[in-house]
Amino acid sequence: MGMSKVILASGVFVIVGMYSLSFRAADNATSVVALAQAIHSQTEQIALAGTKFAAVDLGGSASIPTILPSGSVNLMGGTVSYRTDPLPSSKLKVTSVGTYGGHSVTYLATVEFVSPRWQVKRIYEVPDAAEFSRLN
Amino acid sequence: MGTMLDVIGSIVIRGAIMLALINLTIQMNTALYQKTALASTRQSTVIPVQIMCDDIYRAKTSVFEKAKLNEIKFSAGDINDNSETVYYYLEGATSAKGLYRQVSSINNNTPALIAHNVTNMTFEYYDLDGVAKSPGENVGGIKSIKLKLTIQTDNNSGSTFWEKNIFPPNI
Repeated sequence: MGMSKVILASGVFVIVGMYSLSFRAADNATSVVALAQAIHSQTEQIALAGTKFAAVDLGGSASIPTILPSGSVNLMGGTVSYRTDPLPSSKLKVTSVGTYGGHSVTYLATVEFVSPRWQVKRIYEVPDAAEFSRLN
Repeated sequence: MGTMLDVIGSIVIRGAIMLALINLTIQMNTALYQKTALASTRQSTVIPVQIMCDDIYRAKTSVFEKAKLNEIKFSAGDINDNSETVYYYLEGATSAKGLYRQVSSINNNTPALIAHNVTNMTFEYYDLDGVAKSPGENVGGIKSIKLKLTIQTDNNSGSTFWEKNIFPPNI
């Protein structure tokens, strides 16, 4: 094979190779979005669990304990930290922060005693610009 | 004469190979452009979808002021449990419209454009038993919402489609 054919074939391989890398980068950008969504959903579930832990820790009595429940639990490959604070009208506020795979989600919940147990009555996800930026 | 024909044949073949190579490069470039545009659109779709889902998640009452096919308006709670009205709708003259978010507590209820090139936004509403509810105004008994959103690329070479079921916990 002549030298010119070798150069031609090499050029073709280089061109195709460069495009392959670029295609791969575009595909990767798409899969990163999907992965970030999946991790975010998992983090939400972990944070949600913290509100349930707090409600369970409060027990089956309507009286508010002097030491309000708080804690940190490892679950589903992540961590949830929750804390309980008093609110007016015998209600309590639970702040639950779930972390997983570098993502973080915070839920604020209002818990109230509805016999025979404490129940989550309202729950909101705290908007977080940093978490939004991790999604894309 | 034979040598001359060989040279001409060689030039023709080499020319054909070069043309094929140029064509390959153009095709690859076009494909890469479209692929990159689509990936970029997917990335830019994430945030509006997340904002919408978070807002719908905050719904406070199961009666929605507007529970229409292409727009939604409802009362939502903020993290201090204060009420505010959230409204999502499409606006634009062409088939690719802007998606607007209007929240009563933000900027004096001024609508904000959160996504453009939206070719389709559809809401479906379901009750506690998972039975679809007819779209309309002041629709009650809503327990879950299905969102379908299609956004096309800037050059209209492709589109990305999102579908999500949202179960607001406070209604």
